[in-house]
Amino acid sequence: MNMIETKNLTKSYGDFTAVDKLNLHIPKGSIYGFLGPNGAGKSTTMKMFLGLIKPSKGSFTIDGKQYPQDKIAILQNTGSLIEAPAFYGNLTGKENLEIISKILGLSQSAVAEALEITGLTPYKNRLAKNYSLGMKQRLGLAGALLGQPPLLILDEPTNGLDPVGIHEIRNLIRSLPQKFACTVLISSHLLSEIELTADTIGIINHGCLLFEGTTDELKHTALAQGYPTDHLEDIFLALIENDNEERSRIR
Amino acid sequence: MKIPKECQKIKRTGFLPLFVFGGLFASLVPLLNTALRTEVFIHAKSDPLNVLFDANWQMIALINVLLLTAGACLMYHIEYAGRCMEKMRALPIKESAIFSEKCVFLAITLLGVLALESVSLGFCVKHWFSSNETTVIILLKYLGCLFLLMLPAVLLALLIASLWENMWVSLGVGVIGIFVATMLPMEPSSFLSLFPFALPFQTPFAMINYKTKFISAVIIESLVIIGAEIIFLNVRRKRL
Repeated sequence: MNMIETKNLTKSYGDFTAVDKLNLHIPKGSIYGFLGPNGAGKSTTMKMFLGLIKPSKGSFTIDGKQYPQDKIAILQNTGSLIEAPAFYGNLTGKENLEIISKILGLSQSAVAEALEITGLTPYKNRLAKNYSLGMKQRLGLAGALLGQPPLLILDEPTNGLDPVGIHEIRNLIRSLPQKFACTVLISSHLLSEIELTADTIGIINHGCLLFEGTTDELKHTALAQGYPTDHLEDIFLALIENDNEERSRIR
Repeated sequence: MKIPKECQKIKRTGFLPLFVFGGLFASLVPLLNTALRTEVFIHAKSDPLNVLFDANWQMIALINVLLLTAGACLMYHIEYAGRCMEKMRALPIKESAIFSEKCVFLAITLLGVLALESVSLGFCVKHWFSSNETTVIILLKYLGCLFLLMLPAVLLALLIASLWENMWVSLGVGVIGIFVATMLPMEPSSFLSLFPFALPFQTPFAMINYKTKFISAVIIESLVIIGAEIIFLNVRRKRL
């Protein structure tokens, strides 16, 4: 069963199409790596799932719920971190999470738990504006994890983290489906990052889905198309390059 | 009721000190004015509160409207500054609910300021006029009246603050609105005195013969401003 399913999901701005007839199938309980170069349409797609951007065409369902009819129910069960983390700079990390927990109708223990999971407990009383970039990213992640939602949408969650932080967050994300029985949709433009985290991969370029499947399936596809298969990064680059060449040929 | 959430959000922004000191400053106006012009005031052939309102309310109302404009801008600035509004949009809460929570919080804060000013006026009556006619009930009645006249201004200030992400633009527009209000004719008979930022300049004595007109104006303006906010939020959502 799929947690998210999109049907010809499209977002256009005038004559520019950011997301073009996207058909995603994100299995329940898995980590889905959403890959693509900058400007490929990853964030736009994720924003559409959260109701931050209105789709121009197409539709999607999340856990069987239809957007926009069930928007509030979808948001109630979705934790998100989109682009840079958002926070009230005048409040401490703990107070920021308390605001979100009040909106979600959660108890105080949920805040303490989210702080503990993301390693922010020692810094919970520090003003969020004084957090380092990595700590802000952790705070954003803590906000997404509040109440252990069944779906997590994380847009480049390791941005700004040092190698140790990246490793910790990666392990945390890796453990989430087992710990909380949740589905994670994680985007990145780094294949090495996704390779170590995701069960299923979706590769997007210029708003179009180029590939969807497991890493093994990706290798098989690459082999069949004559792409280098030594490293997944090479396959990813070859896929993108080939797509870009085809597009320039059509133009 | 989620008022505590709004209360928590404005922590360390200077919002509460602004209203406390602003309220105290406005309360000082009748005290100083009466202390310095005692003879002129106590020999006036009118109700003591009427005399005090005539002599002080323009200044007090100006401070109040400036306070609520600055307060509204601060309340929305914290939402836009750290991209919190975007985070809120990804949570199960409607933007219109955020607006209404802010309205309630700002109105309650302003009620506190008005109460402080009423106490100051009551003190002036008791201390300098030795009048027994002005009771707590009368003061509370006037307080309710002044609060009612403030509501469209509260809503308009928050509407303006929600329109622009840059606080300085909202503050500028709000201040222009206040200056426009001070330039309008304040006679209760004038239609222009019904401008939302001009309503708080009316005194309970001046509007005594125009009660229906002012109450209707407050209700209609409030509904129009709330409607405008809802339309704005819908248009903004559709443009995303």
